Amino acid sequence: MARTSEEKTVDRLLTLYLINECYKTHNLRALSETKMQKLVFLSERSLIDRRIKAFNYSFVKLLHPTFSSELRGDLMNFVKFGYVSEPWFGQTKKMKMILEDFGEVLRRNRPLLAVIDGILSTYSHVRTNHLVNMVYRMVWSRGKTIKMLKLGTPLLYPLTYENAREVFRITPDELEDLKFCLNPKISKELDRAFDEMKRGELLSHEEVFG
Amino acid sequence: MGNYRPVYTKTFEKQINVLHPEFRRQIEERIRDLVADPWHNTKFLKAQYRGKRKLWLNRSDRLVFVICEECRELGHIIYNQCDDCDSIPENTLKIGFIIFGHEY
Repeated sequence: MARTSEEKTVDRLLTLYLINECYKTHNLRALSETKMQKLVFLSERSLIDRRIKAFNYSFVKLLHPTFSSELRGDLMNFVKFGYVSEPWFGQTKKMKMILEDFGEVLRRNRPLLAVIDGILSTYSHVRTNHLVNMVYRMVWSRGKTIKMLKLGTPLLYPLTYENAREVFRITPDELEDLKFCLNPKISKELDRAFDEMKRGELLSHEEVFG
Repeated sequence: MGNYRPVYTKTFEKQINVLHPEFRRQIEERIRDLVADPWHNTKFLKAQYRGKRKLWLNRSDRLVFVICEECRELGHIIYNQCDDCDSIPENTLKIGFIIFGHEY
């Protein structure tokens, strides 16, 4: 099932948090997409095991061997709209501003973020090829390892609210502000309007309303 | 018009031009209230949109704007960086964009 706009927004915030932590706390010098896919996969799995609804990406088995097209889409948009820098998803001013201004939301969800922090402490320094091999060897269902599963087998999908013991806590107003900041379509159009404002390309009330 | 003088981006004009005349009239009315008191029912946006305010147009639509006077007073010039800051009067309201609820 497609993610709701709330789920998408929370996913994007948590992905930015995860990227920032990799650089800030774990001092990584680079972060590849393959590694990102593994770190988010392991974090989401760990959260779901605890019945915590936070990350909502759907993952399937592919060659590397876990992949989420939704996460890929978000990462591509992060690069396109300057939330992270190329080529290694580096930190940017925009990303820091989001994490700073929504710091209260993150603090409120500290116990949940501790799960992601735990995954990063364990796996962020593992070399990508070792991480891929480790995920290949993970036992998934009925004694089968991920390596033994067919390509395209669904691995993770969002936890429903009914099945969750804990959910990411955010107020409607915070969620609205966060959507404005993280929705690529709104961001693009807002940026265009603010560029016109910056350049002083403005119209009078009479020109607009007649 | 009230104490403040509204000016509009071309993007806003494009948005307004395709709206139903009744909704357009409602927005114009809300802007008339806004120029009388731009702090009423408005709130700052966050992160990359620091220095900009949002006005509740209705349950789900928001109008994004800047109060030039406030921008100068609070030092939001570092966020807004308008080229015409030296020449534009303090009582200007720069109205930028409508965020429609169905889009987010």
